[in-house]
Amino acid sequence: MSLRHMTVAAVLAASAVVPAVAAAGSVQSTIAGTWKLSIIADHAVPTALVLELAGDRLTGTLSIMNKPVAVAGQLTGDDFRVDGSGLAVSGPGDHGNMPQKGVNFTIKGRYDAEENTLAGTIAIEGGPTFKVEGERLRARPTGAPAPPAAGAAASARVDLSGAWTMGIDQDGTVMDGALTLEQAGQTLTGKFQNDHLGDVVLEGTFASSGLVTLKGSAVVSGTSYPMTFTGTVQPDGSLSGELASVMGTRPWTAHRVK
Amino acid sequence: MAHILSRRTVLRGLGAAVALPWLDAMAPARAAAQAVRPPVRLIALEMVHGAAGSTAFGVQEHMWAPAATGTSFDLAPTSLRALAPFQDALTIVSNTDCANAEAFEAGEIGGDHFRSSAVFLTQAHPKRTEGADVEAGTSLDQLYAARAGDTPVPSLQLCIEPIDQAGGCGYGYSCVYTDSISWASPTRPLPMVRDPRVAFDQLFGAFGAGATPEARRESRAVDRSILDMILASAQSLRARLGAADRARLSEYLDHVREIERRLQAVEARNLSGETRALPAAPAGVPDDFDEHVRMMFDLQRLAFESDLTRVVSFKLGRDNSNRVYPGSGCDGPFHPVSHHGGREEKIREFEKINAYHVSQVAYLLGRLRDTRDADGTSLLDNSVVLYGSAMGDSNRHNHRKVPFFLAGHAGGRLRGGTHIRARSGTPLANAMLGLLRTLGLEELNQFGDSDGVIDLNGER
Repeated sequence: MSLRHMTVAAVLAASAVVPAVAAAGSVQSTIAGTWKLSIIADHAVPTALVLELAGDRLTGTLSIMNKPVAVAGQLTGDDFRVDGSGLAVSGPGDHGNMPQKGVNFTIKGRYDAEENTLAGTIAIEGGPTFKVEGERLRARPTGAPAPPAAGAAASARVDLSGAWTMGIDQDGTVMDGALTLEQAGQTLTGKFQNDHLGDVVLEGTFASSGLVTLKGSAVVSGTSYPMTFTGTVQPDGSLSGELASVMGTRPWTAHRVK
Repeated sequence: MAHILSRRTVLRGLGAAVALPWLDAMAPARAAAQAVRPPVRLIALEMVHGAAGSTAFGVQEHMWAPAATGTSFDLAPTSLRALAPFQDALTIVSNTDCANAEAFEAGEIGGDHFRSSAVFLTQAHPKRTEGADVEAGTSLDQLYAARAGDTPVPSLQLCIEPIDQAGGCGYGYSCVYTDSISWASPTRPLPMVRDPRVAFDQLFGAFGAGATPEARRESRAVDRSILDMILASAQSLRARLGAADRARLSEYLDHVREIERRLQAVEARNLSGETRALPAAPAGVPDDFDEHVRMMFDLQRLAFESDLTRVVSFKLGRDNSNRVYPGSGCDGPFHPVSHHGGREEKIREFEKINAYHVSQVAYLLGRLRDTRDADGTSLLDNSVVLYGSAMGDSNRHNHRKVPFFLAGHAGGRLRGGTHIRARSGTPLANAMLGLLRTLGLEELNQFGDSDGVIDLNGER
């Protein structure tokens, strides 16, 4: 018998069975957390084992295909055991004698604090026993952004430092100007120069989401007009977005000076 | 006086348009021809669900990565053995991980099949959703497509297995993540084309602007050819060409016709009423994997030769496919064989399938090597073929020591003939960032979860 074609038909998350295990030995608090627990059958079945530890008592869930079943048990030294009830599995072919409704199961094994792994077995009542191996859920890699913002080439970060030609669309006519930027980390500084607006000193950010924000003020005839540019890096390396000012919202683009 | 042809000259007729290969008439003076720098083309191939060589036993047996690094490596024990004739064009980068394909939350555990393909070329961690709010990252091929120059088809997305599933595919992931490897933006996956007829029509058929219903009908008639529709235009052009160009044009049009004949034969067979191995597949899709893949490769070669596009992504499989590959020497279905339980004899069976898949790439490389480019070098000299998977050990659903190699010289920017073994824990994204810079995107300082960049001309 194998779990190769196992499907979870339903999970009856009934109350967990708490085994009578004598409390003894030291307690490793670090077993608490989320584990990717692989059931090693012909087809390794990935499951999520989420454990909480209070004293030596373990509680949590085992999820196969996102269907959680409550588990509870105990940590004794580095040895752990949790029991659950309500895992219902069914499958074709060689799973003919697999229980077709909620079953009890026991996961027991050893927690290796140094390797940060679990190793042991899962015994399914009325069914087989399989090896299990657990590794702690990996942290999101450094530098890997959360799912990136729409429209941003956020998985490919660029350095925006340099000279650009910026065009601001004013109802069909484009007002050109020279944009220079300096980037230090996520901080942007620079200047927009244009015959009508003069020199506009800019400060802003290039967020990990890919969003570019630049703020400054144009001084015309002694009056200061705040300007806020927001935009994103386009796949061809250009910038585009919107300028918010007293004139309303205007689209803008910028291309590197070659 | 020599007649100078535009690179964008096409043969037209009855609404059809067939682009041309590079001809001397497009740069008649020898000096000008020598000054021509062909564009660098990119083909990104995903063969899903890892490799036997990513298992502990596979690493020990050098089933994917050769034992030696540098330039003196032996492909014979590896799944790459069919590529031995192209060893000097290979850049193998081994021992890298795709951490963004791993689960970061409990609910993501087990969803590897439904996440990996979206990670492969984006190196971004997809947002778990079954709705329209999908998010991953802009893919490598699309970043390059935006820089590769204007072509009639900005990029071509192809696949082999079915991709028309709607909604969620499993573990809360939209099927879009499984269906496409190309993302124009973090929120815009591009559809992949499975039917060679659709790809052929996209490149050569009577389906562009101005095409008439009659032209479309005629182009698809089993006993007609797209070349019949542009006959007058082709004859007119021939009269203006020198002998070498005439020969080149004839050879190219023969290749177009040859693939068209193969396509028509497949359609006739699939519409004959005979039992099909893939009964749900469109009539243009060959039931045989070899035939399907090679037809797609030949279309890619022609698309490059005629500069219709410079960027292709091609998804060769689907994690959960139960396809059997008789040519591999393994008679088990793909997915069950990939779950080898860590047993050595079963890992060896999976390795046969891996080697068989790689052997298809040898066909492509041969075609590229045998096709002359504008400057007299080959398409292989001016292309990069990327091959790999975001999965490592398919049995364990992990994403470590993932299979990956490059082939081609990228217009002289990739020396090739080298095996680079990264230090453990190195993101595959570092190699991809190295490739993007090689392709001219020098300003990029990060891609996906890269924490550095691999010099693809290093380790010599």
